[in-house]
Amino acid sequence: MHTFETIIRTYGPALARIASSYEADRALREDLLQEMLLAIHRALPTLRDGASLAPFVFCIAHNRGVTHVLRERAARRNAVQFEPRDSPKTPEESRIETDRTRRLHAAVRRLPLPYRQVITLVLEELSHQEIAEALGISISNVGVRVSRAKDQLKELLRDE
Amino acid sequence: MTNDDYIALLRRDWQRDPPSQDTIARGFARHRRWVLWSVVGGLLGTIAVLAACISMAQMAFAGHDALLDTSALAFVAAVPVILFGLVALRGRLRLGYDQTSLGLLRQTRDRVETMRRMLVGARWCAAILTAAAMAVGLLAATAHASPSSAFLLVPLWSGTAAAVWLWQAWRARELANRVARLDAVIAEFEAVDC
Repeated sequence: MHTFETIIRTYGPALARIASSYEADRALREDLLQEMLLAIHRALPTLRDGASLAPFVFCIAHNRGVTHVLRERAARRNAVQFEPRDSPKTPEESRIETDRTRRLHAAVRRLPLPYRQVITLVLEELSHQEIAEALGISISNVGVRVSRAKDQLKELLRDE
Repeated sequence: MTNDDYIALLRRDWQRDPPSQDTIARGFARHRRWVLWSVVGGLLGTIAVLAACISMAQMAFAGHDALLDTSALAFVAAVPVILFGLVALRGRLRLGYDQTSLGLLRQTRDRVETMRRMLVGARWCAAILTAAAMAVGLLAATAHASPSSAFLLVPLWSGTAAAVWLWQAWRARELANRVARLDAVIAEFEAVDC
């Protein structure tokens, strides 16, 4: 039996990154993360015994993300850049790494939603089987989407 | 560079500087309290309006006062709006689990369409309130109701009817835009599998 505290400990940071793939604004991203957590908390009693936790958690997170995109397209808010927390490195190292991270998050946000969903789960180290389960698509479909997402991501990162 | 190397490189950048788990847990506890209170508030408000509606209807059935009868009719006319509120509230509580994003989008589209259809009730509500305001005015004019009641009720109900009409017009436009946005996102998902 999984407790919600375990979910926050295990998946909290990953969910924060998933939220950042849907929202650039820091305050809105925080709201989205809380909505994802609340939805997971409510759905947790429906998780069947023996079912994998990662697909369950990321399925809910991505569905909340899609709902958020719909809402934000209505609000037409201007996106601001992702700003990760400072790390204890030399200022130059930090600057380069933070810049790379920021560019990657921005590029992921520019991907079409179906590609964005698979690539974020690949980056969170889920297997193709788990991704298929989380997104409700076939494993071969995951392979196709990952390959296309990677190509688009390469192009976006090269363009910047 | 192989594909795996490329993904490994991206992963390193993607997972750099994760947010603190304690901050996430604290934020969640705060958010959960706020959501709970807002849902309870919405539910209590809806129950209060429904209770007022039922008690007015009961008073109208018990007595034979023309003014009360009209009031009850006006309150009963508000029921579609209350139901609309309940549907919206239920939508907020929906989990969105155990289905694909595309399934969720299609389900949301169906729900929005249902809400659009339910706006007909709000139009009827505005029309009935207008008719009720006119009826009270007529009752007062023919000495079947006190002029002071009519002085209060006619502008109140007419104003409410106008507000309900404007609200449903705004809501209909908003829901139509929502359907258009949903269609665009659904097309985005469907295009991938072509």
